[in-house]
Amino acid sequence: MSGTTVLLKEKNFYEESSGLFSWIFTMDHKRIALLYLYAIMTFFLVGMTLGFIMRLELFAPGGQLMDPKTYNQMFTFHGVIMIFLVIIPSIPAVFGNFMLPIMLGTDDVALPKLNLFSWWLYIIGAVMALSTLFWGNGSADTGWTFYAPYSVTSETNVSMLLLAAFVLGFSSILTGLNFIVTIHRLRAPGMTWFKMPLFAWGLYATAWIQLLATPIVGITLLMVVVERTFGIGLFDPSLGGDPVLYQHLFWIYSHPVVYVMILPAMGIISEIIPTAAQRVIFGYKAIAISSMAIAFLGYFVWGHHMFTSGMSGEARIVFSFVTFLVAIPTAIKVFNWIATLYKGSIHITPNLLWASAFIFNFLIGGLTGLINGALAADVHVHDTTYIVAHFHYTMFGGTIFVFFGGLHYWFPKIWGRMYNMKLANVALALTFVGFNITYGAMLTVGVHGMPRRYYDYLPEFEFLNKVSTIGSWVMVTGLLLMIYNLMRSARKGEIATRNPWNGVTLEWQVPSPPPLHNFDHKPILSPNGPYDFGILDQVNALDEKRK
Amino acid sequence: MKNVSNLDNMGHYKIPNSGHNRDDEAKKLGMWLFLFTEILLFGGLFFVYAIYRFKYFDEFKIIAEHMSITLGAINTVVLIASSLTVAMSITAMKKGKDNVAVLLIFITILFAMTFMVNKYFEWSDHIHHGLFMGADAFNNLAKGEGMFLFLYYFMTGLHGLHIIVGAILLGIVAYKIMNGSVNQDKLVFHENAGLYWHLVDLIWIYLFPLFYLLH
Amino acid sequence: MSDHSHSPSYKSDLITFGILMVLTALTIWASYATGGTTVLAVSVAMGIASIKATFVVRNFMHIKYDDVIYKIFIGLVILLFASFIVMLAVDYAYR
Repeated sequence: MSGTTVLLKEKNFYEESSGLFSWIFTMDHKRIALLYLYAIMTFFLVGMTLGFIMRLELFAPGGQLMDPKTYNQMFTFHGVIMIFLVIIPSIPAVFGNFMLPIMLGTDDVALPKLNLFSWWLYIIGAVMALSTLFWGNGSADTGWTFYAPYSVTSETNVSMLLLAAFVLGFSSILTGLNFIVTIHRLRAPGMTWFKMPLFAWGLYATAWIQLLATPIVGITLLMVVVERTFGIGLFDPSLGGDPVLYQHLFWIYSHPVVYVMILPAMGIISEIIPTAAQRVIFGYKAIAISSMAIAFLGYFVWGHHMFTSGMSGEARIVFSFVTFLVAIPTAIKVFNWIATLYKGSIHITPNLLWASAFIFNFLIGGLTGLINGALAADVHVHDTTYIVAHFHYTMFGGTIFVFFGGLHYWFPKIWGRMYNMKLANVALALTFVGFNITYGAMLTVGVHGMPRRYYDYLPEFEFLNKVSTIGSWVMVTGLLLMIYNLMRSARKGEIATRNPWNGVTLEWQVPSPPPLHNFDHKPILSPNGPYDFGILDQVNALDEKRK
Repeated sequence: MKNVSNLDNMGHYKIPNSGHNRDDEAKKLGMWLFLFTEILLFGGLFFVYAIYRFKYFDEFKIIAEHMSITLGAINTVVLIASSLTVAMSITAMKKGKDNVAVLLIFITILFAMTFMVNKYFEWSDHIHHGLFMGADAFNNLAKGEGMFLFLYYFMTGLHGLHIIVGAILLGIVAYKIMNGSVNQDKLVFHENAGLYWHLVDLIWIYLFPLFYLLH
Repeated sequence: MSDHSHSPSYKSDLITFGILMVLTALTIWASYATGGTTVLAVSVAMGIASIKATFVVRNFMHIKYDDVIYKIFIGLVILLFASFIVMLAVDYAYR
């Protein structure tokens, strides 16, 4: 394509139309992505504030700021917001929506109207969830896990929160459905399955989990609502039911959902690292297949959340065994990322730093997970803050860190501007250090025996709790700094070049920000796959062709 | 200029694999994926049924004596017949016989209404005998027996909801055939509605033996 | 948009219906013959239901003529469903 066509400079997608209705009724995947982004960031701040306040309460033994019931409501709402409104949609709904069509070489998802509908379902679910704060006995106090029998008997707004989760689940299912169809049908001519970027593979594996696992929790939450209304005894032993059955049904979804959270994040890491190292990723096929393997195996390990609940010994052994298996494809990815960096031409960017922070955090999260998966060890740590720290290391230090990393990586593409690098690095450092102090202390005090979801604790746990709380202050400072940097730079940052990180995947070939239909030229695809830096010169020459 | 065929008349590049192109296969794939979610949704209830049937083997058998095998069998025949008529309606469209197709769709909806009317009589009968949550007779039942009834109401109720949705969808198909937006060359909406209808039939094929054929 | 080479016929729809009617009668008879609620009875009933389901999926829903990917997807969903039942059974059977 060298020097043949002169390409017209098009309007970017922001300039196509303006006004509120052109956004909330848009079918442009890029606008939908941003609609999700603003909602998700808002809910993240709400959830973060709840967490911050809880850590204040835990600064010292005894009650400081609230009574125990309020504390229960806080950690319930914190969990529901963070899990259903933030983490699960985060990467797929924001970066999946924005980048997937572009990275596949097309102009939108396969079912654009369904995409808009997904967003509306998300907003409706969010409003339903938030409403529970303002009437009756306030937000549910059952924990985000809604275990029976308390979720059946609690007099707080459990039913509404469950219905909100049902609606949000439906939003997630439809997004997954859309991505599966998009990946099957809309890849650019010449882009075979094994020439797709790894972010697409991550989203594909994720979409299958969203599709198949979510309906089960949907019906389970409905069962609890019906149980609250009719009192059948589905989960009530005095009426012949089994509370552990609820746990089975709940975790059949809620374990796979953690892979919904992490697979897209790993997909982003597989994008950031080749660009940072300026070389092809190591073991492309292994990473692609391991994404599918993680999705597959992840369906069969849910019982590891229930080791102390009363399952049979035989069941516990099966679940523990498969839990260890699922660590293998994950490890393969980590080794491949590190191998990619080896002898690469490394550019230290905030993207790479966030990615490195992720690898560090996820290593701790994953390894502590293995300890939880060991039957005997789990008896000791189950329901302690060790577990809380474990899942914050994976979900927060994992998924959310990568969400922020992706935000820094694709920022110039989305807003056409660059952020302040120095501020970005300072923010990251504060966040990373604060995070590890907060949750490192939590791991430790959990092993020492501090239970989770307790609003009070024994005096011997006080020091580590103080450390953890102070760590949270450092972390929040870093996060607020990061948000300030990004928000300011989106409006006033330096205009970005089209390919500031010298990437070779398709999103770096389109203008920053992209025009409505994404591509103003035929995508340049290498026959060697998506990470062939041999085409970098061709990609960077695209700018000369635009008037 | 090379690649003239890839440019539209304003000189902008036209994406061959556009998400806005008509793609019937994509819509069919999307529908099948949606059906998978429905299977897993009902699946959760089937899991609960399986566990409680295993636990309350005898109680399920005892309470199932209240179920009318005749009504259940009639409903099974009616629903399978409705699957036949909806399949035939698509065949008719492929043959270019739009009017026959609309007639067949109306017959399908008639079958659906028959099914729901039968269901209504069934439920009324049970409720009349106090076999509903909250009634005295129900509260006096043994533990497993109440579980059976609850699952019966929940699962057939959810199924009934899907029949109503499916019937509405088919009504929309009939309307679209009449105004021409569904025609011999543009069948995917009709076919997808048919797929949904067949799923509703499929679920009943499993519900029937599990709730009626215990003796 | 024809996705199969044979021309559409009402005959194949009706034949499928006939088979389903026979199988329905069979399952009712079998429930009496196998004693209604025994393990055998349930297995036979589910087996016949699955055969009926296969006819609905292959013939009415046209999977017989569709791309193989649909068959793969359906197979995987069935396997997933079955795995959940088996794993739940491992817990409940051994308690």
